[in-house]
Amino acid sequence: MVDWPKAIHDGRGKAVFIVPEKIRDDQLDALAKIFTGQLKAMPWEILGTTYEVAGLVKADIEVTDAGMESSLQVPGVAKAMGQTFKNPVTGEPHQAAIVLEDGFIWKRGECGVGSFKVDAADLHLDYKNTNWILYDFDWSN
Amino acid sequence: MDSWKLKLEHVIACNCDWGCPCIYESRPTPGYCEGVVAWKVLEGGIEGFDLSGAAWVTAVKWPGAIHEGNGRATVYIDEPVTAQQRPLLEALATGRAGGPLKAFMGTCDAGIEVRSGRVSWKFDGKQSSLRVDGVVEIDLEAIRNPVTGDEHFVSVDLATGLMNQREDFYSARQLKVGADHIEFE
Repeated sequence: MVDWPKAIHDGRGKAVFIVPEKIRDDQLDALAKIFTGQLKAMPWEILGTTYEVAGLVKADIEVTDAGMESSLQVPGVAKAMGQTFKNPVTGEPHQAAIVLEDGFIWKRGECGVGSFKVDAADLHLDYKNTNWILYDFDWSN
Repeated sequence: MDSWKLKLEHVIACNCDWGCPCIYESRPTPGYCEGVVAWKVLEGGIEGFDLSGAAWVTAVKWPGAIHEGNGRATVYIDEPVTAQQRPLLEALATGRAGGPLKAFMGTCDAGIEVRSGRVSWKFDGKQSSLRVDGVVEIDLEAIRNPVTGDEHFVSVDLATGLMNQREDFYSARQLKVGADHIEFE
């Protein structure tokens, strides 16, 4: 969960990481190194410099994998859910996917409308009907 | 009018942030939309008349989101066109010929004026430019990465798009319109 005060590339973000309760120490250590850019892999070697780690929460993470209608729940900590765009005239679903040939985080993202609420450590976010992007990624160092 | 099928090139330049919120069913960046939409026929015709090479440019202003209507447009049909082509292009450009432009131009219910103009058309990615002599000036350039300054290319696939199924995005380095009823820069 991240909160950047301005554009991402302006930095000064605050990040709280949520990991499963049963995570092993060596797994947590590896994830911490990846997501703070210490292993020099894109995109985290760039993104990891735009925030400081403000907290770690260990909790059950429930993901419902249903394409654009996917949702995420961490009881008491965070929830997020998405849906497809709706044509404002006909009400029919509308599909838009962004293609970034040189994208360093992802190359193709399906766009929709999402809502999310976060109360993790000192991070509190609550947004309704905002940007929602679903993408596959392929990251390595 | 007989059924028709045309293959076209299509350029849009408007007042919004890069990327066009409308394709995501969002409102225009400043709450209203003003811009230029232009088409050039690559192949095809209507009622037996070939329209290949014909172009028209529409300067338009909507006071809110496009689908809320109340838009006002001036259409410039490229010269020269033949006496047979002209009414067909007018029908297409104003939406009377049906197709995707019927819904799109139907939002210009505050009035559509049709005029003639001389159109210069350069459809070439980031180097594209468009002119209607004395009225419209558009020059595109690549969007740039704000950190490195490198060129950044964005496309959007619109499986359910009204006017097209794929758009490539650039920055409008210049967008200037000096029509009688529509003026912006």
